[in-house]
Amino acid sequence: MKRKGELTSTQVITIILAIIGFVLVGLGLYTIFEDDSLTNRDLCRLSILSRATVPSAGQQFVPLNCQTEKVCITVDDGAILGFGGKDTSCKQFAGEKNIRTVEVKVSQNALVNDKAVDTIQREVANAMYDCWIMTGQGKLDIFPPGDGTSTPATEFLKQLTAGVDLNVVPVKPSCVVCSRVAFSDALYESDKEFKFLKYIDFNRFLESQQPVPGTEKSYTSIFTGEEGTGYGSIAESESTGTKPIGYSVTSSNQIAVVFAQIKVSGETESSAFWNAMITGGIAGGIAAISSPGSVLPLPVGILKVLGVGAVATTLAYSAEANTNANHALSATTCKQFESTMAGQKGCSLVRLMSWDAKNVNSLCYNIEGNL
Amino acid sequence: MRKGMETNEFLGFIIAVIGIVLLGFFGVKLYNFFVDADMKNAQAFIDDLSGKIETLGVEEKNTFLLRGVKGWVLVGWNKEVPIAKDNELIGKDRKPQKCFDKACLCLCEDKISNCQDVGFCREIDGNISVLSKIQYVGGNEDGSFEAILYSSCIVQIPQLMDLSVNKSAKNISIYYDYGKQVPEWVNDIPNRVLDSLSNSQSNVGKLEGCFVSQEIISRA
Repeated sequence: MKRKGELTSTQVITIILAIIGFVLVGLGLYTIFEDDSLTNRDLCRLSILSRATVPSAGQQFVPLNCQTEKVCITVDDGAILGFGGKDTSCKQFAGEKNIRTVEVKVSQNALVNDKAVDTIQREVANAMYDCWIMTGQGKLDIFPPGDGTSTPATEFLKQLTAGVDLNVVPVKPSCVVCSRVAFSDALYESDKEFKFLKYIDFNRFLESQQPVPGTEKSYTSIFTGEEGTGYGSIAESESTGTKPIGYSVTSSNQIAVVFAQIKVSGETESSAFWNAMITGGIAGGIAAISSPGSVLPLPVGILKVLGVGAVATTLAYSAEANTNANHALSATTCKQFESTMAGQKGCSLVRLMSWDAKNVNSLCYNIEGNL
Repeated sequence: MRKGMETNEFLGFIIAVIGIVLLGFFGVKLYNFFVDADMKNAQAFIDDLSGKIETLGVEEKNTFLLRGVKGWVLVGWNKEVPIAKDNELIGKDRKPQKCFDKACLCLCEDKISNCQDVGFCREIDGNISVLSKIQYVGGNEDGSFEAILYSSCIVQIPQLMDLSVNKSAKNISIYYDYGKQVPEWVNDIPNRVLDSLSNSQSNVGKLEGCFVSQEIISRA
């Protein structure tokens, strides 16, 4: 006979299942928030996904938990059992934490130096690739919508161009600085002797090498070649043998991998859409006359892109070929975001640029994440 | 009439309590994960800056690139500045109690009167001076003019800021130049120019409590 208050087998099973459910959910959340093995990149990716999947109105309440990766490229310090080594640290990161050091060996041997060059190029290429993957390959809408109002810079530009119909487009790109790559003084000192840095060509490396060994897709084709779209091309390749480090070098001896995104209205005409994309690409190049949020929508002969589409365009180009500052490659994609509001289009850009306030600020109206 | 709870009701109650506790715990975690980014960024900014100041040699100067945190203000107090008592407002001439008897550099949310409650302060060896500069074109009933505005605070913008730091044996100075700004509207109230700058950067940082001076460099 069933006693009063006695549990039935169904109730017992329900209770056990509930407890197991709580434990599983708890473990899952604990893994996400407390597990030390979760890398900064994972956390960033998680926050990007979180933001991309909430409605636009709520995006501003979901901050990006992205920590800029700091990579110090230097030479072997020559220490024996930890003693007697020279200082090979990157002074650019003085006082900062979580720095990853990449040591390369250089010598009189050309093969050794080739390997060093390859290592440096791959570090930078992988940083771009990781950034591109982490930020959703241009498919995710990750920045809150701007207010769209004019800014002082816009007004300034309007004053400059008074009477000239240049169709000034106010755009406010937002950025995440995925990586900062610094080159130590010791590396430059070694280069004086062994002359290996001149062989570094990031763009050629990105075109010819693959991020995943054994696969056919190069870095560039991943950034630019989306199956199904069938267009997009390199407007100008970097074939001048210039020194990516040399010409990118600023007082900081650092380059940065920056992800930028610009939103354009779903109703925007394709020309404005196109202009917005160009804005993202060349803003830094015309920093002298513009500032973030407003640029002249003129390609100025930089872009020679084939098959420009109105729906989605993918290209890579040397964005600032007409300047002496930054010839590094930019990978841009403009498309309709897959993550949020229907019709919301935008352009996403992952770009290698010198780590310089004027340069970075000319592209990024707003920088999110933690440097 | 029943007295007390039956076993299954009691178990249900226990499970509900466990559920609420778990939800609360992870709710707080979620809140911290999503909402505290600015606080983390502000802390990282002041830690980075003070770390770089420490590593800078005496009689050296350098420019450090740091990302500003929108809506926050950088300010410094020297050792001899008295702390604000309970009923006093924190300002340039009254430092937060957390600085006690030390020179300190603080990054505070919105305005410097918040430094005690919502601010991160780091002790500084020696005297500290913080200065920012903006050049602008203003106008009043007497006509337009070009002026430079100096402030003892640095209102943060959510972009890269190249802060110049100069370190001597006894003094540390931090300087930021906003450059030449042309605000959308102009008038002769100096504070509002920087406010305008702040607004243009979606920034809500205020200069309340900071020293502000203006130097007219030309009149039209």
